[in-house]
Amino acid sequence: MKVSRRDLLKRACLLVPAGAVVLSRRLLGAGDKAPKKKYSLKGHKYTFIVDTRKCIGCGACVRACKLENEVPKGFFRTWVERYTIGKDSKVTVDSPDGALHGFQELESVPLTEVAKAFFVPKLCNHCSDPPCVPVCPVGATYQSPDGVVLTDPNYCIGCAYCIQACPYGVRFKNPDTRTADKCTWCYHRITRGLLPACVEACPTGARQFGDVADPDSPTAKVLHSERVDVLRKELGTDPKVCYIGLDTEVR
Amino acid sequence: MGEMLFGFVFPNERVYWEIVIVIYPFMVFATTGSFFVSTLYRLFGKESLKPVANLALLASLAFAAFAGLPHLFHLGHPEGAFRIMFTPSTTSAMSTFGYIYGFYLGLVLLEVWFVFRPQIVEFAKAAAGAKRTFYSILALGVKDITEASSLIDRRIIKFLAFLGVPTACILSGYVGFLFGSLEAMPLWSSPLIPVTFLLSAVVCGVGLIEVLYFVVMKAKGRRMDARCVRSMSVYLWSFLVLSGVLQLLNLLHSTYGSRPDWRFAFQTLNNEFPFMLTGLQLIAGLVVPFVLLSALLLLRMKDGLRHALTVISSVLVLAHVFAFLWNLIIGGQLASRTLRGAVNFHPEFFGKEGILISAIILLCPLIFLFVLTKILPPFKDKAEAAG
Amino acid sequence: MTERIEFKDIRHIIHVAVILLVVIAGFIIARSASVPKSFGQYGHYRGRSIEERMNLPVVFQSIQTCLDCHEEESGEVWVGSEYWQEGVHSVNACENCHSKCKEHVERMKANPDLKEFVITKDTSDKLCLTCHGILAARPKVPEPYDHKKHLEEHNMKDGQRCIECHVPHYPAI
Ligand code: HEC
Ligand code: HEC
Ligand code: HEC
Ligand code: HEC
Repeated sequence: MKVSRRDLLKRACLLVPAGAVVLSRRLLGAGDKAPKKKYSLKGHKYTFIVDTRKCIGCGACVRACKLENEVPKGFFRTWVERYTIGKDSKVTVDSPDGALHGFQELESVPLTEVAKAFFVPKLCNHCSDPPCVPVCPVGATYQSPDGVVLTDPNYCIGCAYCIQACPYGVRFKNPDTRTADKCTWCYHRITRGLLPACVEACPTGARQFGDVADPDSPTAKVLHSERVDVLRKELGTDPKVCYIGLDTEVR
Repeated sequence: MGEMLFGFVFPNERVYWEIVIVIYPFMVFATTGSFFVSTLYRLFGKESLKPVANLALLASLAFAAFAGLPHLFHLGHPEGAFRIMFTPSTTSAMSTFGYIYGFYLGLVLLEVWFVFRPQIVEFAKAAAGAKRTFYSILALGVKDITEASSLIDRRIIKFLAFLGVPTACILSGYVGFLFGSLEAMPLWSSPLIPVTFLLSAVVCGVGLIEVLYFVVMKAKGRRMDARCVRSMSVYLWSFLVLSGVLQLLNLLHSTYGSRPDWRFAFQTLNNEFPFMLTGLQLIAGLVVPFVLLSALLLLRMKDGLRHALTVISSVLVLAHVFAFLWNLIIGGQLASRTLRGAVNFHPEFFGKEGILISAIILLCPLIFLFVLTKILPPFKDKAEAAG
Repeated sequence: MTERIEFKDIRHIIHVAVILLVVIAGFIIARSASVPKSFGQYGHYRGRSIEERMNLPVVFQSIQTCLDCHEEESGEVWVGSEYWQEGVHSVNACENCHSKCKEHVERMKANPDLKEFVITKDTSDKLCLTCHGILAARPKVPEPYDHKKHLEEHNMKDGQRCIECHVPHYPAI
């Protein structure tokens, strides 16, 4: 029976349009096989775009991130939040275990009572003017010359000052290394020409990443055609993670 | 998260600064406040405080010596603590604190040494055996005190006290700045915080010395000096009023301010720690000692009662300072950045940053002070008691 | 008190000064010995830490890595890279459904004839439903879908699993 299923399949799959995501991935040319030329720290303008309208809340990004970066249990370099606004305008926000296992239907708000609902993936904003960097007493967190905010687990003394300074709550004290930890945009991947693990895993293209120093890159095209916003603009941190389809309820 | 009871908090949010970090400014307050008490006599010539001046100086050394300890317990990598001073970031309040603290510690140490040098030399000459060696080392091998040298010493003591006042102010104010400079934490980010800390430090110091004085005198079976106690209660009253008013100003300023996150944070604090905030910090720690101190300043009463009331007020005031720090530091971390929930906090008892360790850390300077008073007796025994 | 200050009057101060100098010198020596060489190379941090970050291993595998070896169809459900790329699930990283991929790739690269595999194949409906279950917040791509209704519609008995009708690598029917 299974063999016939496959035969049927072969006949059937004539013209299935490939998703736009695949296309954009190919354009980016990201793959393990990217030419291994020496990475230059200069001339980059990395931007991360989160299209909240496309996020289906599957949590594949969270799982991929945990796997890639060995993020300890209970802490998250990226997570997904769900905002449910009821017909009575009551806002319910949840993120069960950071969406590590996706989402279940909300019990407190029945489907018929929902006015609007959406998912919002969160990660480090890699602010151009990061509040976490200047407070570090030893210089163990910094903005690399290519604009990525990184931590140095071999120099960090684990005082948690940077964690307090981050207005987005993306930093945490890693219980294994006892140092401050957070999203690095998978620095080891992007400097090899790969995509961050969460972007690679996202099945709907809700997460996009690229170097907008090149105006022809797919990310630059999205950035230049869509209306984007950043989180908590009033703080003047100038985040490099741009959101499409934000809502005032999102902080 | 399973540990969240209501609302929504970001999954990484925890109370990252626990009880040891409450202890840390408390010890800084204790040392700078005691130092202030000793300079009141030494620099500003408040003769009434002479009986406690040396005790205050020793207390300030004892607390200064251990003020860095809570931080070591808190750090994920205490072995790297020196990096704060080896590669200090000029933009970080914490690394600047490292230098100021180092400077202050050295200053207090020198002050103690110069003040107690005559005594050390005396012991080094009079004692025999191991004790003699010990005091000789303490005297740095110089056993003669000439007239000229004691004149120079007195000038140095004055100068150190003179330098110490701004240093102590900067130190305690700087701890406030450590919190006050964090824009992301609504209860902390206020320009008034450093000043509030400064005044709390003085209040804490006066209260602490009063209590220590009481304990030491009880142990020695002697009576407290009435003039000194009265003088201390005046200082306690004045600085308590100043500190209370400033805290109130801070509260009003923020209440009428436009930060929605401040209102949320304060509400959360109020919901989570009603006893600590209203009960201890406000009523038991501020109003009650204010009333008691006012009463004993205005009314006539017997010395015994007056002393008892002063000591009670001092204990309450110490509780007030502790509650103030607790509410600010732990309470300030409760409100989530989401403005939709509170982070759960259960103080651990045995943890690395838990209650037991904090209590032990607080005991260390007291034990050290006890040892110090054995080595360098702050009260001239019978001679002074008679005179 | 106007007599001249003699050496013996300030001897103790000189001792103190010497101790202070020793402490400060010790501090400076300890500092220069313990500050990492690359500190300050680019800014107020260890320059080498950038390199250390770059050299972390890549774990999550890209689709292309898998396709390089799995060009041909194989087994019962793998449809080959061409069909895969045409199918709707080509948006999914293989690792969304298979885990321990890195180990698999390393092992297979070392010895392509291995017949024991570390890679897992999650065949549960739960997996499909993390992406396909109905949620109020879920947008319409992919089509949110009601399992119960689905089964009723297709006249199927309860308990039939998704992959019995849908090929995971080419799910459209
Ligand atoms: C170095 C070549 C190579 C790479 C790269 C590779 N595989 Fe394989 N894989 C094989 C070979 C060879 C087999 C066994 C023969 C077969 O079934 O085609 C196999 C078998 C499998 C199986 C079947 C295991 C079983 O239990 O039956 C799965 C699933 C699989 N691969 C998934 C993947 C995925 C997902 C990736 C990408 C992360 C990947 N492979 C990358 C060579 C490779
Ligand atoms: C939507 C989930 C899903 C994705 C995405 C997926 N697989 Fe699979 N794959 C499965 C499942 C489920 C099975 C096991 C089916 C079974 O055992 O009946 C499987 C089995 C396989 C097998 C073994 C075939 C066999 O019958 O032995 C290979 C090879 C394989 N997958 C390769 C890949 C490769 C390569 C990719 C990425 C290009 C990929 N898979 C992506 C779900 C997935
Ligand atoms: C990580 C998320 C994810 C998982 C897991 C997943 N899918 Fe999908 N699936 C998608 C997405 C995204 C699409 C739609 C792609 C598009 O239309 O561009 C899709 C499309 C489909 C479609 C075609 C829908 C249509 O509109 O034609 C079917 C059928 C399907 N999946 C079945 C399955 C089955 C069966 C499984 C479990 C083996 C599964 N999926 C697991 C993400 C997932
Ligand atoms: C009895 C076989 C069978 C089972 C079991 C089954 N499906 Fe389907 N499914 C179908 C058929 C047939 C279609 C095509 C329906 C159509 O085109 O109207 C389909 C269509 C779909 C679609 C496309 C959307 C739609 O409604 O047209 C999705 C998504 C899907 N299935 C997911 C799943 C998932 C997830 C499971 C397991 C929880 C599952 N299916 C189990 C037979 C099955």
